[in-house]
Amino acid sequence: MTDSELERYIKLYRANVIGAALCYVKNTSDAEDIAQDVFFRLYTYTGTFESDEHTKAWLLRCTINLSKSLLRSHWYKFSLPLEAAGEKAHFDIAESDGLLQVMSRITKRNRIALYMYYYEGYSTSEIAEMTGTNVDTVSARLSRGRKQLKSLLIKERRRSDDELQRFF
Amino acid sequence: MMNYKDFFENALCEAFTKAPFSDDEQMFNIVKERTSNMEKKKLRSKKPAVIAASIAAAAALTVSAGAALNWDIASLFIGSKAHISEIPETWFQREFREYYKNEEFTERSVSADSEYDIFQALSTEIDKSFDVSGNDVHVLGTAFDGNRLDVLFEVIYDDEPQITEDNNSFMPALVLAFPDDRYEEYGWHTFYYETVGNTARYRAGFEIKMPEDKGNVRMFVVDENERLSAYRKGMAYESDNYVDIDLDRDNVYSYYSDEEISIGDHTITGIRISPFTVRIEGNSTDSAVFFDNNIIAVFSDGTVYDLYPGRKSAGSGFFSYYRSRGILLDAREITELRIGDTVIPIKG
Repeated sequence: MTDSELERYIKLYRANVIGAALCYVKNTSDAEDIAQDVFFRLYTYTGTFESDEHTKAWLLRCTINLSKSLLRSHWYKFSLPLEAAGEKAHFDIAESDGLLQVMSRITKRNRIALYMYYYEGYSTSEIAEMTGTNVDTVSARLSRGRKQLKSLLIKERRRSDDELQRFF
Repeated sequence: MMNYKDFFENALCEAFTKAPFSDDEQMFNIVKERTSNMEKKKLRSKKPAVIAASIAAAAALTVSAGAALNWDIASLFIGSKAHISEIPETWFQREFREYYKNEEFTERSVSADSEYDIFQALSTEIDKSFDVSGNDVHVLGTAFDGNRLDVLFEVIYDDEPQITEDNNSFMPALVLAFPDDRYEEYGWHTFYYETVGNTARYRAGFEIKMPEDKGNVRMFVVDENERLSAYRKGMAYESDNYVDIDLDRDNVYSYYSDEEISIGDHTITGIRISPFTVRIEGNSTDSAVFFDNNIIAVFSDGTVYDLYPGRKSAGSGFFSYYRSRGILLDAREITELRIGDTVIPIKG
């Protein structure tokens, strides 16, 4: 891949990759690391892509796989990031307020299904392929995720967060 | 009714506002630096391995053969240096070497002027002008080949603009609205051709997912800020700046042949060439032989271009797409297609 192609894909899909990573990991520095890893893999990837859509799907699939690997790793389960000591670059989404926190409270599997379906616009069969599950599972996760999100937002609204009301 | 897309859009906006993610340029530099470090590391890692192996080998030989053996450790280092100095073949070089098997090869390239003229001749005329944030944008025409939509447009300035590759001055945003409410705004490849007086000429291309037969799309010609705003809100475009384009796959081919051609056990029943795609049709459900191999287009000036395999479809027969990735395929200038050792003459 040429430098200009890499530059272009970063411009096009950096936000999508970070968004997908944020559906899995607990903080923004991990999402950033995953995004860097994903684009590094793209840069050194030896295959060819049919279209931009194909590249995007590849990037998102790579993001999902890397995120899962990170979550499975012993290091991730039993260590605190250095930034937890107070470095500015770290931002724990579960401890934030607003929508990001709500998003982090949706069960991980449901969260990625919702994100891929509603935000990225993929079909249930495409999501099933990307996440290594089947269509029925994705549909069930979407259904559960919708209920969960709605319930979380109602709870938040009760906590007098007027900002959230515009989603209803 | 809850808007889930809007929810994620806003949640991510929150993340990007609150957290210091790398921007595009920083991300690019990080990836580049990491690649460079990896290359260095690869080279470095070979040295100690060879040294360790040589010492172990030397020790073993010393034990077994004793001092009488004329053991030249230095030669191992020379050997390792020779190994390190080898520049590994890149994937592209490897593919290139294997594919072309050392045959003479020239990549197709046409001059911008020539391509612009050819494209203009092939495209469907639109001829509509729009005021986009005070800039006059003139859409001349479009070409669709069943896979890729290209738009020819001009930006007309009050004064002669100074346009370079890095600075395209004003650039309108092109957004496609599909009948199924899909909006496509990513992936336009914009090529700058030339500036004539106060007019800058461009071509923008986009690969789109369409139903097999035909369909209509609405192309909005809007300001980048308007595009971003609509995208963030997940709303429909309200601009009057649009062109309705009728995308009909049957009218886009500049060359069509239904002559039967046998390649091994397979039979090709049709070849279609359109501005950016070659489509091969056959009567077998097994199209792997075609799909897995690239096709080379040979032009009348002796240049050749390697077409990239696209999608395929099963059914009673097959068809495979081979895409030019933006290089214009003017069938009048293509003399033959090559699939492996088979040469198919094109009477364009």
